[in-house]
Amino acid sequence: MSLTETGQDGIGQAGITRWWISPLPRARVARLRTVLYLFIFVDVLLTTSWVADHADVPGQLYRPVLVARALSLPMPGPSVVHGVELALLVGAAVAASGRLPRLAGTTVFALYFEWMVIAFSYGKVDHDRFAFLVALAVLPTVGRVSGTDLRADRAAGWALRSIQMAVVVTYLLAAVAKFRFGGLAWLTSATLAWAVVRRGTFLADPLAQVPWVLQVAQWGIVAFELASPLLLMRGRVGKVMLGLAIAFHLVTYATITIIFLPHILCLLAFLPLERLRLPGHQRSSPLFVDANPAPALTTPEPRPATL
Amino acid sequence: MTMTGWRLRQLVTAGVLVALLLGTFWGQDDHFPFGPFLMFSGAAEVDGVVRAAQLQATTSDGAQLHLQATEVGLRRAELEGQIPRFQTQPSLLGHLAESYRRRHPGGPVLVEVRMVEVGQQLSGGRPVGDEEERVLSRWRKR
Repeated sequence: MSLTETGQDGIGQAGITRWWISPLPRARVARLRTVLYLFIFVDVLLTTSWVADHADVPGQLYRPVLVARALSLPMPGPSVVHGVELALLVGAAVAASGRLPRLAGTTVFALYFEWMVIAFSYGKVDHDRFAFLVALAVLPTVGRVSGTDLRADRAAGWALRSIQMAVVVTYLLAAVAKFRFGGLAWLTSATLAWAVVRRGTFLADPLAQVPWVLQVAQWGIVAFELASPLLLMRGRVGKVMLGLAIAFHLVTYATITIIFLPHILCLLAFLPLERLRLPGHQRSSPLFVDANPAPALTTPEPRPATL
Repeated sequence: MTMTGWRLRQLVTAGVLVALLLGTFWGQDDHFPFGPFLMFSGAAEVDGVVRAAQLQATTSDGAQLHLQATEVGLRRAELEGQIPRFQTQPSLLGHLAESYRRRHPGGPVLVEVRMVEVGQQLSGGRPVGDEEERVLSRWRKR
C-alpha cells in the first residue's frame, strides 16, 4: 500500500500521533546511527568495560533478571560473555558502515540487550540505558538512508521522535520514582549528601559541609525532571532545556563520577545533525537552528520521499 | 511508511509505554528494562548513617588486603545488592576468592574474605565523626 506524505491517508491525523510521525530528515537518522553504533565500541571496551569482567565471576553470584529467566538465557561464563562481546562489536562495525541497516541493526539491538542482561544480572541494575535501547530498536526500522539525504520522511520522524520521547520519559519517570520510593521527603533528604559521602570527588567533598546547597540541588533536579517534556518544544525553550540536561550530566560527573553516556548520546536526536558540515559534502548550515521544525516545513519536495 | 507499518509502530509504542508505566508505579529492578528509574530515589535521613560495602581479605601469608570490587569482577553496588545472600551463605565469599584468583593468576591466595560495612554518621546532612566498620559476613578457607 502506497501512501503520500500529506497526511490525507489516515495516518497520524491527530494530536500526538501527528507529531510523532511528522517527517524529519533521513540524514539525521544516518548520522545518529553512525555515532551510536561507533559508541558501542567505546561503551563495551572503555566506559562500561566492567560488563566483560562478569566472565570471571562464578555462577553462584549470577542473579538473572526476569527477562533472562523468562527467555532461559544462558548463564554468563567466559565463552558466553566474550562470544556476545565479539559478536556485538562485529555487528556494530557492520551497522556503523551503513551496510545491511535492518539486519545488522536488529542484530546489534538483540546482542546489546543480551549484553545488558549480562551487565545487570549480578545484583545491580543501572538506569541509564532505556533511551539507548530504544534508539537501537528503532533506528533499523528506517532502512537504508544516507548521511547526505536531506529529504524528510515519516519513518525517520517516528524513529527520531521515539528516541526523543525515550529521553524525556527517562527524566520524567525518574521524578516519579523518587516520589514513589523517597516520597516528598526526598526533596529535603540527605540523598545527595549520601551520594557525596559514598563517591564524592574533590569537587564535591567540600559540598558535604554545606547541606543546604545539596538540598537546593535536589529541588533543582526534580524541577528539571518534571520540566523535561519541554525538551520537545521547538525554538529557544527546547534548546535551553537541552543545555540544562547536558549541564546536569556534566555536573553529576564532576561531583560523583556518574555519567549516563549512552543516554547523553541519545540527546543528539534533538539536534539537526543533518546540518553538520561533513568533509567532502557541500551543503551545510549552522548546527543550532530549529531541530524540530513544523511538519509543513520539513517536506520540501513535491513528491513523497519514501513509501 | 505503509498503513501496516504505522499500525505496527503504534502497537509497539503503546506496549512499551504501558510496560514502562506499570514498571514505574509497581515494578522493581528485576523488570529490566521496564523497571522504575531508581537514580538515587531513596530519601536518606539527614541524621542517618551512610553505608558502603568494603571487601577485605587475608592472604595465605597473613597479609591484610582491601579489595576493590573490580578485583573480583564485580562493582561495589553489585556486592551491596547481594549482601543479604553473603550473610545467609558466607560460602559465597569463597567464590569471590575464586574470581580473585582468576583475575590475579600468580597473585596471593586468599584464605579469608570478609564483607565489611563502613558507616559514616550524618548530622543535619553533614558527615560527623569517624567512619565505623562492621563485619557483615566472613568466609575462611578450610
